[in-house]
Amino acid sequence: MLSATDQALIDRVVTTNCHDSFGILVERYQSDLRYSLRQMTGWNEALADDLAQETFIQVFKSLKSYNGTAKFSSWIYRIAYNQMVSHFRLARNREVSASEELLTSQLEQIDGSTTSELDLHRDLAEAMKSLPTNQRMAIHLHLHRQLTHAEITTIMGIPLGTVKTLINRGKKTLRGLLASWTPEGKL
Amino acid sequence: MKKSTDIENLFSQARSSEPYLSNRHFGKRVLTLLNLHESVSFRKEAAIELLGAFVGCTLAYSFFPFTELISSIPTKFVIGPMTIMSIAGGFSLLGGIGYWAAERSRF
Repeated sequence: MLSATDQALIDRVVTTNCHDSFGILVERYQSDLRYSLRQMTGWNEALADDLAQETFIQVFKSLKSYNGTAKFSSWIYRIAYNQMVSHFRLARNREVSASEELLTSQLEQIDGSTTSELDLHRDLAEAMKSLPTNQRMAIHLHLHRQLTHAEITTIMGIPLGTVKTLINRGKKTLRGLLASWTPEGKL
Repeated sequence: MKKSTDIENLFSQARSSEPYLSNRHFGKRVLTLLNLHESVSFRKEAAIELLGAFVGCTLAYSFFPFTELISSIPTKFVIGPMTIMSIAGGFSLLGGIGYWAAERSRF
């Protein structure tokens, strides 16, 4: 069952409501999505995990409507992006940074990453926090996930020109913010 | 990577060292939430509530002394001058407090 393709698992979930198959899909995509959402939320682990959770529940609910025209991962990211946008719209002031304690307690769960590597991820997330949500998403999908402009257009539901503008503006801002970045010196 | 950090380089470094986040608790939580979302359908929930209401009413009817309660309701009301004066006094007091509160908040 573990080696089944995404489409086979999706079919099984849609036809037989099989939670185990959905569990395999969650296992396949959760790490990437949770990491991306951490980057989107200034490395706020609790918020990122809540958003990822909501995303997967929404994915399960609307799996019937997935028609396979876009990659399954892109479809998940589209739902996650919508969740994130509506979260920030509703609770703009409630966004809080992840505490050091929370990070330390969750370090055990992160496999194969040293503390200085983790610093890079956190610092990137911190720098990204100063960008508007749509720029953050576009930059992350383009530079980290290496998606094409067309794929980002599908995920974010905005025109191609806007995606390019968002990426260029985001890069410019990040260049300034991360100009003197060193693993020890932080931002 | 000291000065003039190349943004593409930095992201590529982050990509290659991206940690794998354990699914142990997360996956379980998602599936538990799914079970909660799905466990009871609307019809089932409505049927359970109706059944509960029926059982509650039956128990109340058999144990609650309705006849005594009904008989304890007075059938006659006698309003004397003292009652009217008390009611009027109560209203005046309430009016006075209201006026005082409104005036106090103005200053």
